[in-house]
Amino acid sequence: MKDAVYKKRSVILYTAIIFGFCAIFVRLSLLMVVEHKLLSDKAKSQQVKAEEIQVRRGGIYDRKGRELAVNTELESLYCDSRDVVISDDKIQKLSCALGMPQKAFREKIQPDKRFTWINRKLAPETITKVRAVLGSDTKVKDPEVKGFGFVPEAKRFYPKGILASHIIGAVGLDNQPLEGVELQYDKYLKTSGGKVYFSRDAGGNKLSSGVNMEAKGNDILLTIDEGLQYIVEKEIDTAMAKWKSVAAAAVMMDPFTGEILAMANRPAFDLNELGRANRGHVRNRAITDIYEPGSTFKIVVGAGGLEENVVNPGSTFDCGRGSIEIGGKVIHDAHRHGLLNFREVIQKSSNVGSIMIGLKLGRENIYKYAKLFGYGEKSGIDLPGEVSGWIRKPEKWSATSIGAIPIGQEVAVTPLQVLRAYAAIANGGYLVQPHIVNEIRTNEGQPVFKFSQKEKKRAVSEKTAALFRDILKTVTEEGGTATSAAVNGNQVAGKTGTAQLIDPRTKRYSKDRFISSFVGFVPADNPKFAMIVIVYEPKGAIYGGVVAGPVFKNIADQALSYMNVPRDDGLDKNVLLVSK
Amino acid sequence: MMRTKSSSLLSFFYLPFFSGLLLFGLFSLVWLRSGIVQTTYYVRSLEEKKMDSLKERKMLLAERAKMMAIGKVGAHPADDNQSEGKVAAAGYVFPDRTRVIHVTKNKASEPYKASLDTGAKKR
Repeated sequence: MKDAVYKKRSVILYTAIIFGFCAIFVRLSLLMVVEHKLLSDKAKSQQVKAEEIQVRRGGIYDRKGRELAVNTELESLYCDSRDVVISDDKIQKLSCALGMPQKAFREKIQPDKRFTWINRKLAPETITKVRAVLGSDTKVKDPEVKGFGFVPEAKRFYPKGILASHIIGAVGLDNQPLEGVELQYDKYLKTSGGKVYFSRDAGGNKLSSGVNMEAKGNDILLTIDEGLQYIVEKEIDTAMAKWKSVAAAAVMMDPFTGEILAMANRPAFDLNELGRANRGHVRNRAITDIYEPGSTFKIVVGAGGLEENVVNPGSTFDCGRGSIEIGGKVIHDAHRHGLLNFREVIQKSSNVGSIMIGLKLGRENIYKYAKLFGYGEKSGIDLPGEVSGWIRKPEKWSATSIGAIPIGQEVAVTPLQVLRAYAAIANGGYLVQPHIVNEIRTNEGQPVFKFSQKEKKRAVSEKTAALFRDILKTVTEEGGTATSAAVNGNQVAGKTGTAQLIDPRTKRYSKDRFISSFVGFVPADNPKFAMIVIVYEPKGAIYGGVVAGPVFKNIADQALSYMNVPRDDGLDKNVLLVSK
Repeated sequence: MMRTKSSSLLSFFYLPFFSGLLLFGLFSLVWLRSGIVQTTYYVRSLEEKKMDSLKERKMLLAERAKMMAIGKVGAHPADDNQSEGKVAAAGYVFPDRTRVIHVTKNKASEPYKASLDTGAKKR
């Protein structure tokens, strides 16, 4: 009897145990098989978080590796309007810390949006103050304030301020490129980001992903030298102040390689304050502004005449009348000269003599050599906004054009084009490719791109270049138009230019608005650099030799010292040359 | 089944041994796993420190670049507040071209000699 009871109870017990295990088994099967995907996705969404890799632009450096554009890390304040909880007292403190009117701050936290920027890229001192108000710098959150947060953002910083502003360019608030190298080389400077997935614990703390959370673009090394750039900018600032001119520009270039050593424009702007800059100050006049070059264009008829053998250094021209009539229009010399040889025509910048050379050369050849010297086409410099200028084809010339074009009227050029033409004389007759970027490297220093000169186009023969170079030397010697451009210790070869501007009211050449320029290279026989200086609408003087020549001299004096160029007259008794 | 004295001795040894081994294994697994998680936390905190240090480094580099600007250093000979130490440190040097010594490198070592050679070279 008892056995039967025990047996019955064990059957019930075993059944209950088996039933229990079956229930557990079924439940586990439901969880691990049927609902597996749903539950694992839910767990992943709780445990795994995605975060964007912070993308940073590459740096911009001068030719010696000095920083011109870098990134700084700042924070931006945002709010989730739906979750915002803030007292009036905190609003007042916060708006005071941000430097915003209270009304503006309240408007920002009103919209029913999940995300609203309060203020972008705050300075570190402001961040500290804001964090103190929000209580986010302490472990215990301030219960009075909710719904605000910080996002790290990169801000582009230009440590040299106004220096080389037209070359470097600038970026906007979202680091989008706007001007200069920043725009031209944006595809190298920026890089793609991506997302990184990492785990979180139950408290929301992130665990390591093992991945670098920052991706940086390539670095760019420019051809400019900060020291030379500073010298150039300082001197054109001085010239602007002295002559009360509207604007000024200067470009310094290695005539053999086309490397731009310095490029300056005034007015300029501070790259860190782009929002406050006048739009007119942002353009790079050296490549975007065209002007009638005046006497600096005489290189075309001068070098062209020598090349075509229609003239030689000894050819003479009767400039005694001081004027010449072409197509019913009379063109005058600035000063009356007598009989001039070819050398003196260029040295004294005689318009009459230049027109006579032009008549011998002919319109077809004038046009041909203008094109050979790079006029009327873009130089191809790697900066945005370059214009090509223009020179009309011979078939479109008027009766007076043969008298205008040889002296640099009825053509439109950029300062860089003029410099490039004279660089051809400096380097033996080749038209070089001006460029501003030397090299591009990855963040780790691996080369990505290095500029290499394409096959150089020959403008004139080496013989012609050498002959014309000798003639250009006389311009800065006694009797020339640019004795003020002569440098102590080294010979300068160059040409002055004094061009009239068109009066927009009368549509004729103005009597009081000029562009004064000087373009040259030094040392003349082995040039370290070629440079053009242009002063727009100087007051008190107009001639290139008076206004731009001294600027060239001052820049060249300092640049030659900076570049450690020995003097041509190194046989002074106080100088001892020691070789080892 | 007949139990011998030796088999009872062995079972006395094996049972606790393998139980202990099993427990030890489980415990080691848990220990290692928690160690890994702890290390992950530590690495994460180091990563955050690294990011903060990098952030600070960028700010310092920017500040240094600003201070080293030629305009700030005042290295130009005509500028005020010129300091030779600052000039040299900043790398902006404007040697006096009227009193200059040129030293040319020769491959073979030779005794010192003085000459009036200008050393001008053509490209």
